[in-house]
Amino acid sequence: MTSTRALDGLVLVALVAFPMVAPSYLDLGTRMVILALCAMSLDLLVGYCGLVMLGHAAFFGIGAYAAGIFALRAWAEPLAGLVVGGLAAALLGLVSGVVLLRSRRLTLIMLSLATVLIVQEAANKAAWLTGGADGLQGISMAAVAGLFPFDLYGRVSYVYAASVLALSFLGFRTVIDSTFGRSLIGIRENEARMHAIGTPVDARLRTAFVISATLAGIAGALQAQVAEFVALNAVSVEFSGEILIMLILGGAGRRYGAFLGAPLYVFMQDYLAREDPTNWYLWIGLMLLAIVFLAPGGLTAWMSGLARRVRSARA
Amino acid sequence: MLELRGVWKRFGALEVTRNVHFSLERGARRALIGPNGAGKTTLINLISGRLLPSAGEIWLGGRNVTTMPEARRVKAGIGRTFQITSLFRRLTIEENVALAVAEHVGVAGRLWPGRAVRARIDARVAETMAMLRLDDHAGRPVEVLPYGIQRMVELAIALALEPVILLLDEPAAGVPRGDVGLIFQAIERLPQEMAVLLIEHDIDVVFRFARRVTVLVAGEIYAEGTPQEVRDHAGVRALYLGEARHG
Repeated sequence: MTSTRALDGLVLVALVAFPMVAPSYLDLGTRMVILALCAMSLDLLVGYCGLVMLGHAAFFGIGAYAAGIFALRAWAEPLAGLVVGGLAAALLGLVSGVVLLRSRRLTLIMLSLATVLIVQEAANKAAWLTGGADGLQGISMAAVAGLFPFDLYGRVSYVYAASVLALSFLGFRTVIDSTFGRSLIGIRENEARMHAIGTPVDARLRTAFVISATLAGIAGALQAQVAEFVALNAVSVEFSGEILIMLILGGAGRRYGAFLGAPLYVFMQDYLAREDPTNWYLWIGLMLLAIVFLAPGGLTAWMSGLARRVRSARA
Repeated sequence: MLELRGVWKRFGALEVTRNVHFSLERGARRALIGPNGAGKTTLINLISGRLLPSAGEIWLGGRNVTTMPEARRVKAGIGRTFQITSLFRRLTIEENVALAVAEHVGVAGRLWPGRAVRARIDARVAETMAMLRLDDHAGRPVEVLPYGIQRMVELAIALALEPVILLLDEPAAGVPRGDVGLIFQAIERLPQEMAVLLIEHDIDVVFRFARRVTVLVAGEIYAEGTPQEVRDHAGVRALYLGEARHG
């Protein structure tokens, strides 16, 4: 428990330290933070419930569109937009969860793919509202809480996004450390036995689904607010796959997987896109292969295995 | 307390359970025996709610629970173990038992269970583990434990639910002979008010444990009575006991 607390603290310290260590890369840092939040939300389903999904971008995208449209047409204050984005995604999670959670494994993957395709096509067709293929443009965000206007250097964007991630992580931590979180792990490990100890499995998974969708929606809302734009590919199968890749890189169901996977992915994407713009996806694919073969549980599993070996060698 | 009224279970044209009338009283020690394929596990699955009957009714404490889902039947007081061990293999014994305790005390869905609740869960887990003498294996993932201990964890999970009726499906199946005694000693120490239905192939164990024995053959109740009555039943001797002795 003590080492977990220390590592939790380290995550928060890393968030605070980033602008001091890399002040010229705040835009990149903000993207890492937003994607870490999105990957963390997916982790609740993939890592803790054992539900493999390929449609998580639906929640991210609907949060982004809801916050963007809210800013354009109602109120440009970011915190209110976060609530709207989170609620929109929660509603989609509630409705889609009822349908999706009737299935598992391959069928669930297919249904989650269908969900993201439906939401994407709806966003594409409703061009009068979403901007369609051109994306949602013309968003101009007001100051955060009326006090902190977004600046050109991206400082406020980073601090805002990092604060939301830190608070969301505290919430995520509360969920996974609770008896509710333990029961999700029980469902992941042996769903049939959970029925036999009296667990209302479907209801519990639906709750997790809504929590996960809400966090993804908040991540989407953040993205819409800091970019002041929502691209149609925020709701895409491709982006859903990217979120899953980030989580696999970091390690699913391991508390900090999203915090390693998302920054690594964004960094590699940025670096490789500069160094080898035509083949960068190839390198990402090779990196994924290397992780899957050399560190099957992701980087966090590999690191904790290493720490264990070091400890036992010392003892 | 538990009553099955004319229960049938069909899988297509195959009738696995046929017109079973069966009752279990508070504090019962009942054994269910029969040759392989007689439908014993199916009957336990029907009582626990894992399977729904094709016809007939199941009553529990004056309530018709025929269509009640498995999880709700657990809350109503039916606990069970599985013939093939069904555990949370990567979790420790404490974590396995704690899942059941949290569910039983109604806090498993809480996001903020609080220290008092956690302490209550820990205390109940410790009590259950002590009752089954599992303390020596604390802190180790279940998958690395000997099979006999895994069977005890199976029992611990069921007992943590403090069931009114406990269904034991071959609790010593696959356990090395030397460890079988441990399991049956634990079963003999179960609370007297708990009704226990035991499926077991070891006839000596059955006759030592049970106050009544039900014999199931081809999905039907073939005979029922005290161990002595069943032992003296000519048909049972020919059909089952003889088979057990010679096979």
